[in-house]
Amino acid sequence: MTYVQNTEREKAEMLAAIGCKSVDDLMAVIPEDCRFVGELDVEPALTEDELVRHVRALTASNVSADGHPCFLGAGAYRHFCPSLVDSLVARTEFWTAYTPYQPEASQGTLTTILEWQTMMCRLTGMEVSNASLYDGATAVVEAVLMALRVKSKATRVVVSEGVHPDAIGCLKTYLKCLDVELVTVPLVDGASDAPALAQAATDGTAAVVVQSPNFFGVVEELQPLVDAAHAHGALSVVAADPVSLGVLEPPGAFGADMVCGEATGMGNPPWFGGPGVGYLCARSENVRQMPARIAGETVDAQGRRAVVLTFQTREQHIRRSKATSNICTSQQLMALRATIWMALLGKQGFVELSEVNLARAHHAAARIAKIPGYGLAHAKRAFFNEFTVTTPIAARDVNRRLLDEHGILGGYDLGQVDPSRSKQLLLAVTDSNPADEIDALVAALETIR
Amino acid sequence: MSNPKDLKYTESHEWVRVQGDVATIGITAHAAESLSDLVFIDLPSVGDDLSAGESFGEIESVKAVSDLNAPVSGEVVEVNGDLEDNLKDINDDPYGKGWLVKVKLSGGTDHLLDAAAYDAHVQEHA
Repeated sequence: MTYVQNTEREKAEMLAAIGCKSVDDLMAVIPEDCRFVGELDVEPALTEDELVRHVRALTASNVSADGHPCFLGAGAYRHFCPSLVDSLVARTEFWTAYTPYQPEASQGTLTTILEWQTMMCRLTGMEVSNASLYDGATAVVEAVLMALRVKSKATRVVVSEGVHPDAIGCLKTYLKCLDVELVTVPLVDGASDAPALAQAATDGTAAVVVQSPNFFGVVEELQPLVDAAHAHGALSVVAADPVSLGVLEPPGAFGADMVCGEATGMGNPPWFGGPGVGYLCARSENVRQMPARIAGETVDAQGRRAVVLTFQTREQHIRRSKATSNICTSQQLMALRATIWMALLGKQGFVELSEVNLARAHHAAARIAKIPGYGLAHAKRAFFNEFTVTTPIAARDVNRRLLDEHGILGGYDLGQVDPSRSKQLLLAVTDSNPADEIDALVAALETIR
Repeated sequence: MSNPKDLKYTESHEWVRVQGDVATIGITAHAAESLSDLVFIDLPSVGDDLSAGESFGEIESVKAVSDLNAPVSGEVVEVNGDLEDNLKDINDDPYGKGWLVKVKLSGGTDHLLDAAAYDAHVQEHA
């Protein structure tokens, strides 16, 4: 057997089978002026050794959070990850991003999914969880699509501008071709505006979506926001960083109908921006509209405990175009990392890690607020491990000088999402930023004005 | 195959019993048998409008989830609330206790099949 694909011999066989003399012959249906003629401008092939050297040189030009203090978050946060996570997920039984297609043969994998679901429900205060979704942005979209199935006559979705811009962008993409109106509601001093959300969520609204902590770091007062959704019968969707739920009240306790978001921070580094892992939890009454895979516990013919993938009748391989989602797989490996991470930390360890985030961020914020020219943009609001700082010069320039002059990766330049916030820097301080890094950041900012 | 002669049928295996301007709707014995053990049904509410040929709910068995297609147009005047806890009624007595909804007819029934035509349809696709 040859491991080289698409050999000249195979090409000749394929062309013969469809009755073409050559590849050019096959392409003849495409008008000549639409075709590229000539040789592609690609450098000659490198040897393996040359290629490895080339890629290493490219890699060395990256500035990595491993070698520099880093205060960049904006949805992707670094947290301590025990090395046991790497070691366990590397077991061959687990080493795949897919849920198995003959699922019940893999009781071990299904058991880890059930554990993930159980932990996510306990964290969020919800009743059911699915096996995971692609990332935080698509999790928000799937929650909204689920709400549109539950409220099948609704034609409107209301979103607070505190929701991550990637999630809002993703929502716009998905809703563009549906007969659904997407209404975004501005923040007031960095927090969601409950009366304005309630006013926008008139009859015929499927969901009101908020995020807490929101994109600007503000911990939302969830009760009025959930109530704003329910006032006219819409479902309340809350996106939340699960790590924050070690110190914050779970959204389920306020009556949220769906809780979703990005779970990458648990046991997964930010990688290079992905792969992420999303989660979605809901109420049992709506479980039949829940997308993606769901593991459930039952007994086999001999009465022994068994785990199955339940509601497969609603997935795309059976229900086709009417499936609850076209997501047939999940981010199994990343969700498994998160599951192992949660299990290793345990209930108390999780709370402690969450408290370290809270303490370090508040320590850093208090010191930065005292630097002349700097301040907290939303000083009256509560925050967890991220906060918006006002800067004396453009945030973009603060970031550049932090890196060039001090070797520090700064925060997220909020001018990128809102030009009126160009002198605002979103700083994340987590358990991965020890005291000396915070000292270095404060000392550096004192010189940048 | 013995489908009641006094009912009208659709090719998607729903039946209709017309009494005055009210039509009772259910699924046929053939449909119930094909679905096997039922686990869930989602029916419309009283006051909802059904449109002939369009989905008005769904029915889920251990094997599949299927749409319920409205055989006729009209407003729902009654829903069989007993079904929620007695889904087996649909398997055991599809033309009696297993009825789904009653609608006040707003359109005709001429497009429906009679029992003989439905029997033939089932035979043909068996």
